[in-house]
Amino acid sequence: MSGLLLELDSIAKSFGGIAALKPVQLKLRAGEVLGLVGENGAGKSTLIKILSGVERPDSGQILWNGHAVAFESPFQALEAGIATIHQELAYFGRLSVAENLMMGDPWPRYRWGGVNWKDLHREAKTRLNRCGLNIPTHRLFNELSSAQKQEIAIARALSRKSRLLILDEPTASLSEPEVERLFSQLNKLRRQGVSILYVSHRLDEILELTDRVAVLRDGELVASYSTNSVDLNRIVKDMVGRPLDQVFPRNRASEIGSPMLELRGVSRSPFFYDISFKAHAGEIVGLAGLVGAGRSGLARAIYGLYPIESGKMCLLGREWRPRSPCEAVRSGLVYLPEERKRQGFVLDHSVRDSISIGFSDLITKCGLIPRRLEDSRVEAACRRFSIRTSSIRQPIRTLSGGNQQKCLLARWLDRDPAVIVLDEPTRGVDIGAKAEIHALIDQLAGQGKAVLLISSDLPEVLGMSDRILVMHRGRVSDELRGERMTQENVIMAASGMCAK
Amino acid sequence: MRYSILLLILFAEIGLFTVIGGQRVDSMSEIGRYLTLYFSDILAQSAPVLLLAFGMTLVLMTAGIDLSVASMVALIACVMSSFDPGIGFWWTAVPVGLVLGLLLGLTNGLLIARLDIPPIIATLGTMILYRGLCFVVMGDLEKAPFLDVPGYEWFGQFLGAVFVIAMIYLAAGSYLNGSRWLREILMIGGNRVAARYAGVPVTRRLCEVYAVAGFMAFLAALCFTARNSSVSGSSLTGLELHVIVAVVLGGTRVQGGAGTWIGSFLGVLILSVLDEGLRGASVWGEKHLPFKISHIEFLVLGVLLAAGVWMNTRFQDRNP
Amino acid sequence: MFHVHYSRFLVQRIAFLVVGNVLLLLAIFVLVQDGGSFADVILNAAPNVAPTVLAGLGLTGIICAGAIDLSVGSIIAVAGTVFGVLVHRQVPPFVCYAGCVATAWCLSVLNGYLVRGLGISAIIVTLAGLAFYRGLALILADSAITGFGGNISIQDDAYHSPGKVYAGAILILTIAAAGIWENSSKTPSKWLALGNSEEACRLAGLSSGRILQTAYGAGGVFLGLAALIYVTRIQAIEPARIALGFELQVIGAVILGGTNIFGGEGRYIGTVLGSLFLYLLSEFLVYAGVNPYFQEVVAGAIILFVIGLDCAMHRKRKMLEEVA
Repeated sequence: MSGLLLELDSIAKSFGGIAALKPVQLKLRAGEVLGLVGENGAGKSTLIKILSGVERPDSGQILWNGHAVAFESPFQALEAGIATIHQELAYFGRLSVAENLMMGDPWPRYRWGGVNWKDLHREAKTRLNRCGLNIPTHRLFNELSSAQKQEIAIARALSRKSRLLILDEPTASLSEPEVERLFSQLNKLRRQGVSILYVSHRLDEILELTDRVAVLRDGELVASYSTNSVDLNRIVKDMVGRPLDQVFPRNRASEIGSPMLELRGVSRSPFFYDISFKAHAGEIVGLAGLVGAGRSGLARAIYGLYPIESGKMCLLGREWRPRSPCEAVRSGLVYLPEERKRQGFVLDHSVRDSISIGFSDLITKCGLIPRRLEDSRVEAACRRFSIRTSSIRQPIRTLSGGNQQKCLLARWLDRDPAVIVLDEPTRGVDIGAKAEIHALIDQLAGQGKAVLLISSDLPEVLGMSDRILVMHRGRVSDELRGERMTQENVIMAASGMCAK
Repeated sequence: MRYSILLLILFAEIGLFTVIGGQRVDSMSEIGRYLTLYFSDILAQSAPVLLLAFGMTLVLMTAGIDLSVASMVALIACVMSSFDPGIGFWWTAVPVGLVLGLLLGLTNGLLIARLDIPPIIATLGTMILYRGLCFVVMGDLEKAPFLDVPGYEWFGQFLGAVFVIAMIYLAAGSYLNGSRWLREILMIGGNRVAARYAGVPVTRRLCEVYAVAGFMAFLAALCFTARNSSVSGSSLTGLELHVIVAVVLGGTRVQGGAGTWIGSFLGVLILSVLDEGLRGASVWGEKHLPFKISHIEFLVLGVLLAAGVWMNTRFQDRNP
Repeated sequence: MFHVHYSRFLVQRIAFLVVGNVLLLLAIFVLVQDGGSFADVILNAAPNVAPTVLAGLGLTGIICAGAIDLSVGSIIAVAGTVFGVLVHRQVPPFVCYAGCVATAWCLSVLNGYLVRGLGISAIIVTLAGLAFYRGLALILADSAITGFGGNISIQDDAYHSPGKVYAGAILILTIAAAGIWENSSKTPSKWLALGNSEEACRLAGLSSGRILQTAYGAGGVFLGLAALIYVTRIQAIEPARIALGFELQVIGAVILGGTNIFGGEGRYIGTVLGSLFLYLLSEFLVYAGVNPYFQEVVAGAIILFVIGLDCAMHRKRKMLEEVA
């Protein structure tokens, strides 16, 4: 192993007052494969964004080959030799493989100025061959399998003589043989002296591939060890880190009522397959799993955003075949979307409008909303959920993330729904608001509602739920109750290594 | 703030055209009388545009656009003109026009909400389609049965026009302002995805909005035919641009999610005064300009549209 | 050698158009019944179909890049007025032709600058252009010709050669040139790239503004030729009415030819076949004895139907992506 390729010196970054990355030190040698692991929200993606030039750090500096660098754009980082394969690939779907590979470079031309397509394809082919790939360069990009797309993205990244390759969850949508092929390709690259920063939730992959593992937790680098000298349990323990000291409220009665929502063998490709479970009144069912495991897809199908392909759903004992969210809301099933900015609000609209859209159809008289009643209801909701605003006429965008999230909750709760599906209800929320939201969820279950809690925050899902369904690649890989509800078991089941 | 600017522009415009048009005003009372006369005339004249602007404001609130309004008015008027004048007109032609207006609007709505055609392309298509139907109905004829219908001319007079406009802008406008329906519309325009997640029946609401635009086209057809008394296949060509520019000028954003009817009302008045003023200034124009002054209007409409949209966007950005 | 690639969708669409065109031709042949006048149909096709095809070629690039131009009709009006004014001043024909083409090109480039510079959607900018350029044409005619009475009559045959004599030649040469260019330049690939993903363009270090500019620039060249044929095939140029509603016809032909209305997919050959299809359809309606007023309705309905079909197809995919 030769000298230092990349050094991060006290890199820190915060978003809207919440520290995503506390000063982090990280070193990477040339030709080394470093695995970066951590729970969701531990700061991995922020770190990648900074390295790839998407975000700029608040403080600290990046030393690249011993020189301090500051990337203004992803293109600059790429030029410098840092290639990043994001989870969502940016490519030209309806152009050929060759054009995708060569778009950023000058194209070979004949003497009269025309593009020499033969040479272009030959050049593309050599680039693919260099990475050990054999994909016809005439194919349209969209017609390829997702594994091939990934491989081409890697080939494209490396064609600029990149010396560091960053991969963010590259195997999320790959099958087992495809993963094998990816790994052999990466091993080939390692032998050519390319450094790799490999970010993944799949710990087995990390153990198989990397030389060294670094663990991020809550924006801090908590451990770093050579892969040979470490075992799975140690990594899991470091990822989890904190003992469950966080206190989760539990004031609800422990007995549960009749089933409110029931799913039997429900499938919808490519999101989820053969899901069966029951959620009872007064129960909180946790739904854990990695991002992309199909949890949100399932929630949206239950909410009526798209139809299921097979299986049967029952809501309150009757068959449930929703055609739209509108119908779901009227039938007593509500959903708190995951991305509140995109799926939750019109950011320019006032707090009042944003909250009352959820229940004002219940109080309208001849289509008119009684202003006084609406205001008093909204104000009552704001008090009950301790939403901090100076006025309910304030635009929603001026509120903090936690208060926005509470507004979303407040929107639905005046309807008194029977089933509540919460998708990442505390993402991007500060600690105080988090505790308040947890207390509210507990209260709701106490009132006899069935709650389906989707969360990537392990302590939260463990602390709040009565039982946990863990999803892996669109299927329920394990159901945890009582004693078996531990962080280790969730991580194992989520990464597909089901405990027997 | 915006309203005062619009009012300022309006009065500056009137002043300018009064001077150019060679109108002499000496005393305060004369100014008062002149303005009253002027406005009553303008109001009756621009009733169709005002009605269409009401519907267009709604459409723009949903982040859509409707280029077919003028063709709709013409088509409704054409169809109505083929009925026999007489007292029977009231219970044959008028209901047919009403249903036709709703149907035409609904067609737009279905194309946009169901098939997801970009609104501008869909309504550009129906604009030409509806115009084609006008000629199918009328051929090259020009028909004028309207004034033979007893009581019909009332819609073209000041009183009738004011009554219809007041019904729409004051009664319907204030009703909608307090309704949940408008909230849902604004949410669809501001963020269609979020509206869907919030349980708003998006497809249905979009269809309703375009149907309202169709209903407004029907009312506009009543006012238009009552005032102009005749209609042909090419009536009102290009009126849609007037309506859109007026609404944009009134502060409604083409990106959707916000808008007011008062703004649109003032926007229409500004354009109508401009229209009227350019007509009045033709004598002055012939003396001083190498071209017909009324042709400036196209230029002004184009510039106002681009500038208005640009300013609405900028204005929004600066006040987060 | 053709190196440009066609997706399955495009191949299907082109096959459909080829078959449709042949069937329409056969139908017209049967309806005409008389061999002599069928030859006339073919010979007359070029001047009538050329403006749509040429403007369509320009718009194909613009739509592929994810933008649009609604002002093509008004631009032709300005170019036609410039041409008419030059003819009125008895300038030699070639200068008139050059003036016409140059005007259209300049306005198209101006559209590109405005779309890029104002930062508002191409739809709004070019809708404003639609009104503005029409007014410009009227004012130009008014101020340049004393006693302008609504139209500029051009009787001298010397000024009609591109539209009446050489339309077919210009059309075929331009299509050939466009085909060669499509196969020997990187620029069309860049347009498609921009229409596919602006972000990926940025990652590849391409400036989206500059790509858009080239699309409008190249579109201007085609539009200039379209304007040239459009205005030289008629006897009188009426700035207020010339090429009114032309934009929908062109957009319809482009979409019918398989170009994606949201950008990122499309080929010149599709546009050519699409325009031809619309033309043959209208001819068919003429020979089938359909009420001439009804023809516009049928053509409009077909265009809407095709656009609607395309959009509904994209909608399904978009819906899944949105919720995924």
